[in-house]
Amino acid sequence: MSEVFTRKHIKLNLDLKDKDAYLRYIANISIELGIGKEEQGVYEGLVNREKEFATNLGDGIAIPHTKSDYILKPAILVLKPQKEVSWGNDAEEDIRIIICILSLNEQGGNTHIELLASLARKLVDEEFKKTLVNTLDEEEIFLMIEQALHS
Amino acid sequence: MSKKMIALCACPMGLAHTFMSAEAIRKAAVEMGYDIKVETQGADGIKNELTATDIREAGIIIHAVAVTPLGMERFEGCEVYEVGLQDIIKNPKGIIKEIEEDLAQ
Repeated sequence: MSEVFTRKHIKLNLDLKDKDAYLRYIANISIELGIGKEEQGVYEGLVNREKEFATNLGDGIAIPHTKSDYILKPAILVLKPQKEVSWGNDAEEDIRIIICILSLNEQGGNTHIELLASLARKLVDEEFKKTLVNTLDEEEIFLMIEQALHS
Repeated sequence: MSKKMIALCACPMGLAHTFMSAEAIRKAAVEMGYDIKVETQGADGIKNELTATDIREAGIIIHAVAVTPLGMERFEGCEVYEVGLQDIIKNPKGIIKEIEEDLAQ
């Protein structure tokens, strides 16, 4: 299986209009990176999940995610907007880093879920989150996420 | 009151909030001196399943769920505190304290 997270999955200095534009961007690069099968399907999966309850965590981080047949291989994408992006449903929050989780619909043998679960568990660590939100260093982001996936 | 706490966590996709809430509860419970066991019903299925003994011995039972979890019949007749996933992720200790205060009444 190819890597869940690589340096190519990190996009810094993004300047997009709003939350919707970021979700569209994720769907777009998921095709480029060979993660998604069909752009509109990936986009709609992300949007529909946000409708259940928004994925902002309360400290400048949003974790949009989807699990569907439109995903070919599990992946983590990390996006850093140049300026804060408004995120949320009832209470809007300014987001400084977007950590996107893309997963397959599959039964059994979910080894990749363990990786995603390790990362999710790390996302309640205040120090970890603070560093991620503040850094603009691609290598630091790469190492932090990579270690979190395998922690 | 038993210093044993159990929790069940489940979210729509089973990818993120299930595990975040499980970890948030586990960390807070340990720091507050509880013996803690957390079942997750995520995309990897049921992990760390709560047994009848766990449920019987628990002083505090928390459900952090945004979907209807499997095996709800296990909790019939038990006092269960249902909490929001986002709330417990953001403020686990505060919510556990509220539960303690509620139980103390």
